Amino acid sequence: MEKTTQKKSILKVIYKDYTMLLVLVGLFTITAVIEPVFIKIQNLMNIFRQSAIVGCVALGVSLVVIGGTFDMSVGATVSLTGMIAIILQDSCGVVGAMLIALLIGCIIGLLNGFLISSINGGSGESFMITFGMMNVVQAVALIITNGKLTGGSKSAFYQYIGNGDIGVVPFSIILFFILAALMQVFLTKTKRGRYIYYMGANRETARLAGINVKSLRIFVYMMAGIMSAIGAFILTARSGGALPKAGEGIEFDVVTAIVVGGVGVNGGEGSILHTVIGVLIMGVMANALNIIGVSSQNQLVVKGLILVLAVCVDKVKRK
Amino acid sequence: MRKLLSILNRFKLIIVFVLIFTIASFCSKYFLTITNIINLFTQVAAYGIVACGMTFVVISGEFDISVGSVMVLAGMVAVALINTVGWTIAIIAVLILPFIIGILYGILVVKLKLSSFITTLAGSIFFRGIAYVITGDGTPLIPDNTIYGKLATATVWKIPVMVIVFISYVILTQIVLKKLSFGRNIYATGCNFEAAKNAGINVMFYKTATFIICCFSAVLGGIVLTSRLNTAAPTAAEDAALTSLSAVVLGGANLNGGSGTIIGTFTGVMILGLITNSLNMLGINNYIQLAVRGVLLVAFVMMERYSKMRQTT
Repeated sequence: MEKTTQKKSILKVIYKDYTMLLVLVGLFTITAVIEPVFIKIQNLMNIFRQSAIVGCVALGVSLVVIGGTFDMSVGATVSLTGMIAIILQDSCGVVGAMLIALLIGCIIGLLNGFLISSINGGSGESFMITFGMMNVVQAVALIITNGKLTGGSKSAFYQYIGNGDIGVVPFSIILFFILAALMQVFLTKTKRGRYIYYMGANRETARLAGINVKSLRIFVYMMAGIMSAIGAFILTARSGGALPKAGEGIEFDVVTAIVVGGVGVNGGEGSILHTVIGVLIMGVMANALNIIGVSSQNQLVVKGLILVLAVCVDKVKRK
Repeated sequence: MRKLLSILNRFKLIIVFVLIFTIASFCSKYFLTITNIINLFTQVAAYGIVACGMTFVVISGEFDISVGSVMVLAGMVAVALINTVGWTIAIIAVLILPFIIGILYGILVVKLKLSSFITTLAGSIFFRGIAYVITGDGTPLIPDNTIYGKLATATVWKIPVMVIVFISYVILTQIVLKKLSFGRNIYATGCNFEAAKNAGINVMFYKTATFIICCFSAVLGGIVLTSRLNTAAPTAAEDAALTSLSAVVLGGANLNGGSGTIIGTFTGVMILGLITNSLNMLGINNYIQLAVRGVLLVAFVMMERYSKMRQTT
């Protein structure tokens, strides 16, 4: 008796966890049939390269979303940290510049987390505060460069982050998968990671159970800031230059990927695996639309539709 | 002392307004001129209209962050249709637009119980995408007809039409919200959804209505904006959501719904406009202004929550 219920629940888990995986496989197959160019190794690696940027940022934001809040400031953080990492390379060396960029990402996260936790804000407040911070951080990036493009990095090491390959596989996607694995282990195997789930499910109960909710909230936002900086390295290393608005709109892509992957927007649910699937779905779709000849601006229509659809599916599943 | 504090608290907006006004008048001799005051109203008109609509949504306990995209879309549709098929169809399309979008949001947010933040986020991506599709290659549309560009910039007794539209819209929404049972029911819906439902208020209708009103305001604001600039660009009005939400929160609305006034929002709009205007006068660049607005939004949200937390404890 017990065994059958267990079996059923496993089946249920598979259904719940892998519906999006099926969508990914389906999307992949359909595109491959329509456009054979799609499954060329070069194109597939291209998808990986593009996905790695949004993917890294999404890993950090996943923690925030699982913890029950939002972070809208990541796009601006990507813009700022990406620029800092390039500008400071002449004076501080490549590694120094990257460390400073990571530190700045960390500080932005600290500020977000501190402000939100000090007013005990829910998802509404977290949205408004990070929305405000997004503008502040973006403004700082614009002020530093005076709105101008900064040239790319001359360092071969830095360029390797965005363009380097190990065999045929891009270094950036390997970095992304390693970070994803680490994050998954952290979330499921450590105490602190599991506390994030409790906090997302019910903040007040978590607090009463003795979890230091305040520091945990600051921690998840700091992770989002740090992961944004890593995403920014890949972005600016790849594009060979940093626009002060390079990261604009990444927060939309990240939220869409997370929701599409099946991490619930109410907090306390989902895993890094979901985020990875979501990121890959969005990457495959953007690439497929590119091949068909839909410009990235016109793709916004599709992206918006998919976001709504994903939230609806999430809601239906919950029922 | 406590009494003094409570009086200060009640009139803090007016005090802030007078303070900035006085400082700005001292700092620049051009500030306190009729041209500049009219200029100030002209600058805030488009976003001010949007903020009035946003007030309704916030009172009912939701957000709408797609207003910027709806503004752009409305301007695009208007200009594209005027250029191709003429005024009548353009006016009809622009009037229908807020109903389509508002009812859509109503279904998603009220019927399917989706978070209004995610829904309008998706909406903002989607409608900006449609605006890009309308232009084809992303280049701004310019109205062939010169009347469109004069709609908002024409003057009556030296006062621009758009300022008159803005002020009338403020008065109209104030009446709807305060004097009609329609408005009171919106407050009730935002204050306590379940209680309002049990009291026999058609909560679904009122929440959807606030979305329609907000979209209508965005459409009107979009027409004013594109008419003033005489172009409809798909990249315009990116900061509309930030500015209008800031104005509403600054005006004393609670983010969880149930409170907020048009007069408060109007004061919020004017304070934000005043800050932009005086920073412009002092020659401070746009980027710093962006930072100032971001800091202000964060500060207002914090202040509002702090005062709520002090009340409850």
